[in-house]
Amino acid sequence: MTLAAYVPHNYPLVEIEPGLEETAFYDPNNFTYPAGAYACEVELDPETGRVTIERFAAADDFGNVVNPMIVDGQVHGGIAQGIGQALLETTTHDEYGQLLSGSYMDHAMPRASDVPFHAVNHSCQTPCTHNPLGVKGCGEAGAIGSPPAVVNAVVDALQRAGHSHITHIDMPLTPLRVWTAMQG
Amino acid sequence: MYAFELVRPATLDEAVKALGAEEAQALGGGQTLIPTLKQRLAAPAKLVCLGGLAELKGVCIADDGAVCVGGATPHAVVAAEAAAHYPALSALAGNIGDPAARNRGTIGGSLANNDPSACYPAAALGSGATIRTVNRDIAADDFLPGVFTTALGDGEIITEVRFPVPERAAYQKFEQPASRFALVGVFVAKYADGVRVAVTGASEGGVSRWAEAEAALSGAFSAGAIAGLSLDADMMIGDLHGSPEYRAHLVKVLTGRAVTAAG
Repeated sequence: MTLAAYVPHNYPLVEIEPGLEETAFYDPNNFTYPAGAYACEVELDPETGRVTIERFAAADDFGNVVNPMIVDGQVHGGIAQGIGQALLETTTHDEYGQLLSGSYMDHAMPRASDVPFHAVNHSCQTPCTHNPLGVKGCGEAGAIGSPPAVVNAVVDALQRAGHSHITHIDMPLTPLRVWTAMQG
Repeated sequence: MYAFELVRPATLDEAVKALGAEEAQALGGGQTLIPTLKQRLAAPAKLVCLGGLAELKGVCIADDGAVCVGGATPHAVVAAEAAAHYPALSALAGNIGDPAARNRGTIGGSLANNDPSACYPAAALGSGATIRTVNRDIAADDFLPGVFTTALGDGEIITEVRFPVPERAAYQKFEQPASRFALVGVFVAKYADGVRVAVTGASEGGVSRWAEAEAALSGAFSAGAIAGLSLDADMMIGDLHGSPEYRAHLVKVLTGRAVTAAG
């Protein structure tokens, strides 16, 4: 039938257009609920406030995984983006509303050297119960788990070094911001 | 890009002559000039390309042992060829920008521009280098009077920079993470007649020497010698990446680290 629809030989062209198209909407019952745990180890240079990520690991449950390579890639990209948000990227304006971080000479994008080798794992696969494939979303997880992991690691390092007054630093944790927080 | 005339002189004399014309601008590696043109911050009608002048390229050792770098020598070449004779200079050149920038950017261009966050002006000032032009020799101490300002006259091409080789030296660069320019950079060099400390990226007055540190280190060349010193945050640059207080602090930290690294 499809062949007849697309190669319209002997076909009632006056009554029916060639081709065969159908549109359907899938309205899921609910959001999917992926879950995970992220771990980050950092080193802090107390004299300059510079943060270096020593190790990073991400474990996520994405339900049934259809294409593992793509899922890995999604998490890799999310982690790079999250590290950039935690340590580097900012959109800053001066008191007149002028954008200060208007080019990549001032807006620091994470480069390969800013992102450590990191382990990702999605071997725990608890199928989603309310869609036919049992799949869960994986595109946002990397960028969700990494900023808190990095920031909490830095705060932990500062607390261990005796800076008990520091419980939070606004992102990005640039050397300037970390050092300024350390001055009390 | 707007339309401009590109002149490619084959000899230094031709280059000097071409730069005599009105609206003529020397072009080295283009790593600063070309982005400037693209942003329409300047629009000279004529660009005189110095890249074809073989006599301005190369690294050699003078009779007195000084490392001589041709004005049109790219950073990557200095990094490779000065390594055996002046390791700190080689390391500085090898860490400017990225590989693409290092294959094009030249020492002449860097010094003639005198960006207040550039690395080479710190090396020149820290080494007491001599900048040789088509007209005269200029001591580094006289060459860099202020931000984006040099002692060069109109059309005065830098042909060579002569670096006396110190007993020990090191450059510590704390990179601004976006641009990879020096948020603060300190070049320390110990000569028989004293220590020189040149600072880039920090002061609103541009690349300059830290006299108190030089005096202390000339007495005792160790990080401890500057422990009691501090810098005024008053004249320091304050921006998105560093407050004046932070820069003042970094100058001291990096000076100490440069002394330790110099060995």
